[in-house]
Amino acid sequence: MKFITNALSLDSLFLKKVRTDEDQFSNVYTQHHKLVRSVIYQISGESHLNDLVQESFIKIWKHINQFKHESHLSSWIYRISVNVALDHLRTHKRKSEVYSHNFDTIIDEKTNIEKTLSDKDLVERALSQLSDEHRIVIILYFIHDLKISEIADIVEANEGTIKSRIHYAKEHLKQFLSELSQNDSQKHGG
Amino acid sequence: MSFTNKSDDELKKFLQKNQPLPKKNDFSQEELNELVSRLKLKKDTSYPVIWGTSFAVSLAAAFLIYNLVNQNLNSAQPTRHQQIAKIEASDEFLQEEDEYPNNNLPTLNIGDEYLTLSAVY
Repeated sequence: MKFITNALSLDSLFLKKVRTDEDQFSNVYTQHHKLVRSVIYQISGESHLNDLVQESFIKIWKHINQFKHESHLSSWIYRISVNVALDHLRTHKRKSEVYSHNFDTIIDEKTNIEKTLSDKDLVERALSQLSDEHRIVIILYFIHDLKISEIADIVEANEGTIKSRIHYAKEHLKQFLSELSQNDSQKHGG
Repeated sequence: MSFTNKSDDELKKFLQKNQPLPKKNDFSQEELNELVSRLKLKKDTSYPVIWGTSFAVSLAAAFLIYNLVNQNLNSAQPTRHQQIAKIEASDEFLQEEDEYPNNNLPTLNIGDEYLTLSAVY
């Protein structure tokens, strides 16, 4: 009789898992898909975005048992998304495909004339000119407002390295933003 | 616009306000469904059926294990047939050994006296 009771309780545990799998996955997806999509877009650009988002969620779900509650779930999800985006960049760089949002010219759809860069275009262009390492720390530190310790955890580097990367990345970014802004105002006679 | 003199906070605000975002950034049920099917996650839509099946499977497993345990216990003790066969075999052995029953013992010739083995015993 004891055996039957044990078997039933094990079975109900199993059922509970089956029943809640999809609900749990839906929760993880609805809560984090914006974060995953935006961070992948900001790191690796538009091409293959949907595939990379899917790949990230598949990895998240397959390895969710390995998630240690020492860190936040969102930090762990950041780490997976950043790694997926970086892997994609590495693979495509070998094929001479560089991160690019096709920024050569921005044409106004109505007038068909090259238009002034908006601040959004400016940021996107400046980010695309940074190295992968610098772009990642700028995105995580300035845009996603993560702490240095969290970034260190995500990119698996020590905090000193991250501080140094942020410092140099910030200088480069400021320089690119200034240059792009100046060039644009000169082009349009501003 | 000069960016070189911007403080960290100003730069952060500027970047957050103008961060690049994908055109489509909303929740996508289609994408979720596709992911679910890729991961082969099944939603439980038939509670009673699954419970019934699981109960039947548990019961069958319990019965099977009970039978196995019982068989193992029984195999440790000989069956009635085995016990009878064993006793019969031991009787035959005694009969074979009993070549010289007491009433028909061979006689030994020692000198002039004839002694039976019973006397020796």
